[in-house]
Amino acid sequence: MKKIIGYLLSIAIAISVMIDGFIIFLKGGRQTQATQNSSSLTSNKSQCRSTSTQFKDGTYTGKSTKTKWGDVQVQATIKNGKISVINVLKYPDTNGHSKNINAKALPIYKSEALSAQSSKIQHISGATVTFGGFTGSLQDVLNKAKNTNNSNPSA
Amino acid sequence: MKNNYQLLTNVINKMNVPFTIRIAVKKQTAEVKNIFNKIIQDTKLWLETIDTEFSPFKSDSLVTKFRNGNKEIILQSDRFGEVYSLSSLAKDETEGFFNPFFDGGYNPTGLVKGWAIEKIFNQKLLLLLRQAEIVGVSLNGGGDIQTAVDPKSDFQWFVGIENPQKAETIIGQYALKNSGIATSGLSKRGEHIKRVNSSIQQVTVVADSLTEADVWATAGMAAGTDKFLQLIAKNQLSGILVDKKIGEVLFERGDVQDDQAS
Repeated sequence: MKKIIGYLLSIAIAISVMIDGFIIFLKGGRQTQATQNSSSLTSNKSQCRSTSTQFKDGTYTGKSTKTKWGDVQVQATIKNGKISVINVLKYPDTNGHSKNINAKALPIYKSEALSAQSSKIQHISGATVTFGGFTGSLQDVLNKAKNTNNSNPSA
Repeated sequence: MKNNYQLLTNVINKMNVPFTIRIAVKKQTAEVKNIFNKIIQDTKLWLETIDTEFSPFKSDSLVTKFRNGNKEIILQSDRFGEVYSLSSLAKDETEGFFNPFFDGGYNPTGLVKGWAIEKIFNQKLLLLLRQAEIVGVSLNGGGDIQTAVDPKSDFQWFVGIENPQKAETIIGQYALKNSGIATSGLSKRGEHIKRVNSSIQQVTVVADSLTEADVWATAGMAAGTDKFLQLIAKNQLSGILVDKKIGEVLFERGDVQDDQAS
């Protein structure tokens, strides 16, 4: 019986590793230019993944994530099998123009009842967010519109 | 030149938040409907995964385990590692006004929803625009929205900004193509952020990335109007804030304009 459970467990682990791999593959498609630095460290990390939860002492680095503010990744130091220090490594975007690519979007700026506008608005951005709450009910009204006459009111 | 597009809409209730998927199409074909149904299922599954892994209320979530001292999760889960590094970066960028460690433990709730929406949006919803019939895709999670349009079409998403001072009205609207927009207010749940005493009532931020917009909207509420105006200029932010004393303030790439007209 124990054997069977162990066997099933190892299959489950194998499947989860495969799923992880698949997710990495998907993510990888979008992050086409991982820094050299991070790719060499990633291989270090995938080694630790295959040995499951027991980490050897040393320093491990996670997958690199691209952001507008530059690339980031976690770095953890293992001592006596436990994480002793966590750092977040940052590689700022040295091109310098990363700060200047905020969306340009001037609002059409009028205060009026939503119903008057509802044929043109498809979404509500608000702070009262619970299901069935205020924004929820406004969004409910909008959601009933099947068509949109997508003309810019200011144009 | 007026074009009528049809909208397909579905609402998923997860984590007590309504997630609204809307796509705009030229024509509703059987194929479009199939694709839409598939994306609903994909989004549902993804949100369930995020809830399981990141809910601070679930005793076996990664966040709870990490808070309880199981720090190895940071290496075992790429997703957790990513959220951890993003929230750490967000704390630095916002000069600590977005702080996932505010309560002593680690709580990334203020970032996870926006990040999760952006992630599934980029991985799945964006691909729908390859279909000739589909001109716009959008995902709205409780007022935090990511949008995209087919650049060959004239379609835009119109997003109304809730008026925190008068129920059932909006203070304005944005016409968006490929953007993230997030609004934070006094009543926003799940941010768990310490706030300074201020007459600030609501912050809306528009950015390319919803994660970024969400973080800045949360940080703006925490910082209060005076400090946030400095952060707006320094970081060239776009959006609208509502202050009880000074009214609505519109900012566009760091330039602040007082709008007294409304």
